[in-house]
Amino acid sequence: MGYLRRHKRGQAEAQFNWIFVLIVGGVIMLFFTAIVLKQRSTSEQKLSATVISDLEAIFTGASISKGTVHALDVPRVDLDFDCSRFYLGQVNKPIGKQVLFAPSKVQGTNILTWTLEWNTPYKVNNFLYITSEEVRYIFIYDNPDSDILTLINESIPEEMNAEFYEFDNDMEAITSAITDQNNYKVRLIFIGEFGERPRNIELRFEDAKYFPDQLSDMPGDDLTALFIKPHSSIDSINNLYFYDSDGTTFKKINDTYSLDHISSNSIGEAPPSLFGAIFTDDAHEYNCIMKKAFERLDWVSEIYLDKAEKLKSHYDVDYPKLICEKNVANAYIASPGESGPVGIEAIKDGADTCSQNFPEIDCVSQIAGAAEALETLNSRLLLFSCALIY
Amino acid sequence: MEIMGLAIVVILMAVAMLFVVGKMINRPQSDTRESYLDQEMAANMLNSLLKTSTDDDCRGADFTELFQDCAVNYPIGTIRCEPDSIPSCQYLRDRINNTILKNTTMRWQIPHRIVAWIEDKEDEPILELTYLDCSPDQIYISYDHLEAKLSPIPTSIGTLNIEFDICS
Amino acid sequence: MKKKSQIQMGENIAIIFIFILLVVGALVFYSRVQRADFEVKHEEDQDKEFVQISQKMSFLPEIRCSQENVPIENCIDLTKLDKFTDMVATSQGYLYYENDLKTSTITLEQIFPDTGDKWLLYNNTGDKSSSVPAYIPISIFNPKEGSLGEYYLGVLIVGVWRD
Repeated sequence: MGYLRRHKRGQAEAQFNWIFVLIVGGVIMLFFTAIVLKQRSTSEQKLSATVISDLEAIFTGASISKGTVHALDVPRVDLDFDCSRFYLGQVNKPIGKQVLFAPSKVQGTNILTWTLEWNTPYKVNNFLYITSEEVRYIFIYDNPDSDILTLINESIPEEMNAEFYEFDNDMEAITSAITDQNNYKVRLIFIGEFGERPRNIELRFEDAKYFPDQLSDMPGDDLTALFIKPHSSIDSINNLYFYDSDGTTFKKINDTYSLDHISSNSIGEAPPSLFGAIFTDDAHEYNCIMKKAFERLDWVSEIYLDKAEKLKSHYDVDYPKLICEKNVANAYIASPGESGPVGIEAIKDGADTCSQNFPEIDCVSQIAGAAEALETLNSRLLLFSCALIY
Repeated sequence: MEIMGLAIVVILMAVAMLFVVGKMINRPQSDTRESYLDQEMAANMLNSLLKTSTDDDCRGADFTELFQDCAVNYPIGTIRCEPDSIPSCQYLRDRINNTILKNTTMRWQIPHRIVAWIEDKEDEPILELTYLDCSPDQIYISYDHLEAKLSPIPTSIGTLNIEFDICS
Repeated sequence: MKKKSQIQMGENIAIIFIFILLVVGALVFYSRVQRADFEVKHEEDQDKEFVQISQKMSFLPEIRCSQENVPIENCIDLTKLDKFTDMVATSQGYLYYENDLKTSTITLEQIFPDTGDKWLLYNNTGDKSSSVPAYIPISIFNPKEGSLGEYYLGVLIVGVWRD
C-alpha cells in the first residue's frame, strides 16, 4: 500500500515538475522576446537617427557648394519633407532657415541634391533641391526656343529622371502616350500656351486632354502638375499654377510666383525659385519656403544698406570722390521727384512684405525692379573704380 | 549535469564580453574635427597670407608681391619696407615668423612649415620657416600626417612655389 | 529519499539563481556597452555639428566678401561686420541665427596688421559648460582702403559649447 502511495506521489510530482518547467520556461522566453522586440525598435530608431544626422551634414555641405549635383547612395529611405522639418520614421530634424525644396516624400536608394545661388541682385542664399531618381518629371512645351525652356533644359541635372515632350497641336496624343513606369511620384510641367486662349488659361489645364490617363490610379498628391506662365511685363517673374490630380483631370490648387533676377553677367543661369516650384509638389510648402528666402533677403539687405551708407560717408569725408559718392548714394537714396524707397531700401522693403504676405505681386515686382536698377548701379561703380556695393 | 551546462554558458559569455571589450578598445577615434581643421588651416593660412596687404609698411604691396620681389632679387629684394627701410626678403621673414605665425599657429602649438622655392630649385628655398620640426621627413617618425597646401606664383624667373604644411 | 529530493531541489534553485545572476550581469554589461556606444556617437555628432557651424559661418552671405557678386572664398567684408554683429545682438537676430549657429561662440580677430581688433560675431553658450575653440585663418577685406580695397589676415575662432 505504501509503495502504491509513493508511486502515486511520484507521478503527481513529475507532473508538477513539468508544469513548473513550462511556466518558468515560458516566463524566460517571454522575457527574452520582450528584450529582443524592444532592442529591435531601439535599433531602428538608432539607425534612423544616424541616417538623418548624416543626411543633415550632407545637406549642409551641399547647400554651401553652389551649382553642384550630388548623387547619394543611401540605404532605402522614406524621407518626408515639409517647410520646417524632414522626417525619417519616428525621427525628425528641423530644417530651420535653410531654403530646401523637395517633394513631400523622397523615396529610394539614390537621392539627388543640387544647389543654386539665389541673387537679387546680390547673393542671398543657396537654394538646396532634393529629389530621388524614382520621381519622374515630365516637361511638355510648345515652343522649343522659349527662354524658360532653354534655361531649364540647359541647367537641369542629368541625373534627374526628366523627360521632354514637344507639343504638336495634339495634347491628348502626348498625355495618352505617357506610360506608367511605376514611379511613386510623377510631376508634369507645362511650359507654353498650347494654342489656348490667354484669358484664364490656367483653368484650361483642368481639361481631360492634359491628364495622363495611364497614371489615373496614382493618388492625388503623387500625380501633380505645374503650369509656368511668364509675367506680362517683368522678365524675372513667372506666374506659377499648381495642380493636383482627382483621378480624371488636374485641379488647380493654388497660384504663386517665381522671382529670379536675371543678371547680365550670367546669362543662361538656372532660375532658382522656378526650379523650387518644379521640385516642390505642394504650393503651400513652396510659398512657405519662399517666405524663408525673402526673410533672408530682408536680413542681407539691411547689411548692404549699412554698407552703402558707410561707403557714401567714406567717399564724402575720408576719401572724397564725388562720382563714387553720388553713385553709391543712388543705391538707396531717392532722387528729387522720386517717391518711395529705391535700390537696396526698396529691396529690403519688398522682402519684408514678401516674407509675410507672399505670394503678393506688389512686393515681388518691387524687388525685381529694384534689383535690376541696383545691378546697373554696381556696374557703374566698377566703371569708375569705386568700391562696389556687392 | 546542469552545472556543466552553466559552466559552458559562463565560458561563452566571458568570451563574448572579451570580444566586445576588445572591439571597443580598438575602435578608431573620431577625427572629423581634426582633419577638417588641418585642411582649413593649411589652405586658408596660405591663401589669406598671400592676399594680405602690408598697408603703409611697404607702400601698399601685398605679401604676394613681396614674395615675387624677394624671389627675383634674392637674397635681399628691391622693395623697401618700414620700419627702417628693410628689404622685402627680411621683411617677409620677420613679419611672417614674428608676427603672423607667432600669433597664430605658434600660439596654438600647431607644428607647421612654410617654404618658398623657385621651380626646380627645391634645394635652395628663398624662405623656410619650421615650427616643432614639421617637415615631410618627419612623417612616420614624429608625426602621422602632413597636410600641405601649395600655391604657385608666376615671376619673371619662373614659377615660385609656396607651400604651407601642417603636421599632426 | 527526502534528503535526496531536498538536495535536488536545492540544486535546482541554486542553478536558477545563478542563471538569473548571469542574465542580470549580461544585461548590465550590455547597457554599459550601449552607453559607451552612445557617448562615442554623441562625440561624433558634436564634431559634425562643429564642422557644419564652421562651414555655415565661413559661407554666410551676410558677411562674406564678393566682387561683382562673385564670392571670394575665406573672406569677411569689414564693412558688413558691424551691422551683422548689431543685428545678431538683437533678440530677433539671435533667434534667426540660432538655428544655424546653435550653441557656439564665434569671434573674429585681426592678426595682421596687428591692430588688436576683435569682433564678437555670435555668442550663445546655451547653459553648457565647456567649449574647445578652433582657429580658422581668414582674410578680412576693407573696401575703403587703397584703390580697390585691402586684405588683412584674421582668425575666426569657433567654439561649440558642450555639456
